[in-house]
Amino acid sequence: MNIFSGIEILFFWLGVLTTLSVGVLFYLNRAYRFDWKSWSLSGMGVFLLIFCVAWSASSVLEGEPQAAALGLVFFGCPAVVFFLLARRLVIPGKNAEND
Amino acid sequence: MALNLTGKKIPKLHLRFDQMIELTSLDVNKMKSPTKTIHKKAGKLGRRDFFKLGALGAALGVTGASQVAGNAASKALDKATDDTVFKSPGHDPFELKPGYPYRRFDEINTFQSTGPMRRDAKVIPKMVKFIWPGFDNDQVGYRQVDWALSKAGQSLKFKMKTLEGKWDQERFDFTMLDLKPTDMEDDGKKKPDILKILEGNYVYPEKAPFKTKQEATDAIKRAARLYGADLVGITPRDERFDYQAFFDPKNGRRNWKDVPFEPKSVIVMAFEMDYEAMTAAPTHVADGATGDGYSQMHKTSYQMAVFMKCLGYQAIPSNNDVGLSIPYAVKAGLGEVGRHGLLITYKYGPRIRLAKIYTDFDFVEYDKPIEFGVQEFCKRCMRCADVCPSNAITKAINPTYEPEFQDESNWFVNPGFKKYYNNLKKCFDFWVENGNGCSSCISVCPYNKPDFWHHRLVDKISAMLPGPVHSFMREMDKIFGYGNTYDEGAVKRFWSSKNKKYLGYK
Repeated sequence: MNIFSGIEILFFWLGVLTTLSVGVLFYLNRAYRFDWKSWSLSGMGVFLLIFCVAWSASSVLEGEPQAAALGLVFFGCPAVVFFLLARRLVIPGKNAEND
Repeated sequence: MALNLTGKKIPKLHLRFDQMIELTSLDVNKMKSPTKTIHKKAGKLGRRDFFKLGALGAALGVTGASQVAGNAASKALDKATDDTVFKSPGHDPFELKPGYPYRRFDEINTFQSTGPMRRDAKVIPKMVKFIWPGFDNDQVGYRQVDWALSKAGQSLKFKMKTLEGKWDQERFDFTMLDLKPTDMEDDGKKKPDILKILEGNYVYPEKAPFKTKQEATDAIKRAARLYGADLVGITPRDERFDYQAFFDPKNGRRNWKDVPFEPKSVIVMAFEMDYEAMTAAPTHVADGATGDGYSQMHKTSYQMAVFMKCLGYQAIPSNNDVGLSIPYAVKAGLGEVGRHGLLITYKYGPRIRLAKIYTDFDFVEYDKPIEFGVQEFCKRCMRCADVCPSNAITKAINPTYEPEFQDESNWFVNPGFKKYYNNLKKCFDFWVENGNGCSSCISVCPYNKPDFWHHRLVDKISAMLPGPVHSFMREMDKIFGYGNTYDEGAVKRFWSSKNKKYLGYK
């Protein structure tokens, strides 16, 4: 049984990542005051990011590297898109300010 | 006076209650109080350090709490989804064509063993080639090392037969059928009981005193798990799935009159085959996993039969003989039948082998058949039919009562029940050509996955959603790289020492 790799430690780090992500969201909320759309988008982003890490790490552990790579594409990319959309809502760009 | 960590004497602190409160306060202004200074000097652990530790502890605590909460939530979610996904069919899972004159299958027609030889003399050279195929050291997956893996994998199967006494020594089939206990020695004298115990052929005269059926069931299943079974179910005997008659090339025909007792229950066991080896299908490496599965079957079913006899009950170890394993496994709640005609279990998919024990013990809790969406998924998936090297697997969308083909391949199927009928003659011809078994349909099946959480998640989502999603799941399975066949990389990964840690630490 490994100590620093394997499915058990993966889920421990997923717990840490979840805690940190929620903490960061609440921290950002204090600074930028999220509305319900921002909460939804960033929440889905966090969920997909954590799912992406879980999927890809599990695929590596089971010896299926292609599944791990595709996991990054299928779950990681949407997570990034959600984060970018959420960022655009909470920190409007110059065009939005000019409007 | 007390000693601090460095061994220096420190003054004893007499703190009032309000000062103690200050020590644990989060008020930054109070951190500058003399008490804090004294404390920092004394233990070199100031309030700021306490805060840091506290924050770290809180983070770990929240992490742990979130995991505990997550565990509780996941258990609740698992139960809810289990109730949705796993359903009892509520009726006999084997639908016989109305009015069809069903006849029990005859062992002489099993395609793997005696059927081809009895029906067609031309098959005999093929069988010889199949058993002694040789190897090609220039072809990955078919080299001597791969071939050795295959032959050694199944060696225990043949070895075990010699342990079973005269009845089975000469059998060509994969059987260990032990119908007549070897009570007599070669010189005609009755064997002493101690010798029969050593041979595992002694039914203890006193019955084990189980108080409840559940206790007996737990004991049987736990013993089977100890001896190597991965899944265990128990079902009442169903004569529809017992062979009408038995056959072995050496001794000829026998039937149920030769069985010295009336079986009442059948204990069905499934044995997982190695995932990594199976990804190398249809090479000798995958056949090594298959052969090892057969050896496991023989070992465990033999031990379980002895276990039942020591409990005071009659028992016959049975592998591919005596009766049809897959219908019994379905009845015992181990899984459903897929398009490829194999049992698909929830945990291992079709990557299992089956063995069973017939016994006259019936003080048990019988398992019930289950469904978890396999039949619906198979209608749209067809990955096994697509990759089958001999096109032996039907592409009919719905199961039928009879096979589509009407030729000599009919010898190896038993029509009447609604299922997918596959051409086992074509399948066997490829085995001969390949020089071993195939297992491509096992390897490629989307239910064949290692036991990881994300596959269980996909399985459950797939089971809960309608048909078009199954087509999507099939495509995703391919895109994500699962179920390749003729993959030299899989053979190399199997033999590679990477991530294997044979010494336990490196």
